[in-house]
Amino acid sequence: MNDTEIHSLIGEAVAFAEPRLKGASLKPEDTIAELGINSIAVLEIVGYLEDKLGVRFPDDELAQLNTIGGLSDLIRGHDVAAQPAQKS
Amino acid sequence: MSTQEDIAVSYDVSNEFFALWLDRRMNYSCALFEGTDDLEQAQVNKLRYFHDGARVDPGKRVLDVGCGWGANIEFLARDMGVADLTGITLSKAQFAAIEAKQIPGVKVECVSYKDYQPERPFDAAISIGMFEHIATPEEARAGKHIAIYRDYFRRVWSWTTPGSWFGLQSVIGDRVPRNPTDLREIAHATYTIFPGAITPRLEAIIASTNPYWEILEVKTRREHYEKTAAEWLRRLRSHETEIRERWGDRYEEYERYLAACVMAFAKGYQSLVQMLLRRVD
Ligand SMILES: C[S@@+](CC[C@H](N)C(=O)[O-])C[C@H]1O[C@@H](n2cnc3c(N)ncnc32)[C@H](O)[C@@H]1O
Repeated sequence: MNDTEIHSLIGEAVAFAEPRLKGASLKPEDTIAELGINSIAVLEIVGYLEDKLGVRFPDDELAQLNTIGGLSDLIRGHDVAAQPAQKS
Repeated sequence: MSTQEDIAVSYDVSNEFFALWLDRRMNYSCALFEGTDDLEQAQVNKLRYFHDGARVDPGKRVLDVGCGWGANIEFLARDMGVADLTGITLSKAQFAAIEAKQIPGVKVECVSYKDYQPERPFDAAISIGMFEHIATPEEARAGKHIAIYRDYFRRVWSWTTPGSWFGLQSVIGDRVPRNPTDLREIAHATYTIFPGAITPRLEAIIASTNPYWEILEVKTRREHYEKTAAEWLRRLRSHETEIRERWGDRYEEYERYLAACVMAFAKGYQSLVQMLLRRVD
């Protein structure tokens, strides 16, 4: 995926978990806390990305997810290497 | 770290309330269901596991960090003949309950591990279900937890003699839930029942023992905690009328929390670790 695709997928995921942020311009340095996204919504975002990409991110990397850029890194880091998604 | 006010929320509800649904020794931690389905026996199995694992014998001086209502120190004193035991807890209600028992050879202090200074070093240490209180969710999110855990291991190291063993039990976070309903139930338990606490991930504990403790044994016991929590929930429900009469909404709160525990262990969101560590001398 290129940066534009990643960016728009993250926008979709954020709008899914937090409808009030639909169409908001998201910058890599925006912190999840500043955007008012709580710890439950963050994981909903992660779940949405995993479903769309058909991957499962390593659980240990989710604990310290603090920024929008962190979500992009997660996607970039696991685009190829990630395992097929498992349904819970 | 959970503050003393946080700890009061978790443990100072009422000793009688907890006595209605814990085992008769009042272990507030995972039991070991090996060769038994009975919670009472399974709790003794757990205490026995740490007695053996921490190489406790009657002549040793033993410390229990986060001793709860004293189940472990009472077992070691009365059943295993250990004559020099110290328990520390941050809960005033637990401290008072242990003091009132007047167990021979047992000393208890109401103090945080961060302020604790023993008069003399110990030959063995055991800590069951206390590690979860060391770092706060905010500290873990900011990546500060490993340094905080390492500082804890350093302190226990500094309180012990060369050759000491340390038996450690903790709930651990495993799969991170993505499902909003499950997330909400777990968040309720984290923030309402155990404010200031967060279950560590196994790799975080492992990363922080060095350079103070060598890891000799690691066992995960997820199913055992699922069974323990299910039995607590069964007992709580069997006292519903009395609990509602005496403690009102506490009933709902604890029913929700215990049901969330059963779910979290069943789905693998949480697990339990027992570790046997030897002091690096
Ligand atoms: C879940 S209870 C487990 C009690 C007991 N070990 C058992 O298995 O029944 C956690 C214990 O850790 C203690 N604790 C939490 N934070 C502490 C701290 N900073 N210093 C000392 N004890 C602490 C609490 O007071 C409580 O007794």
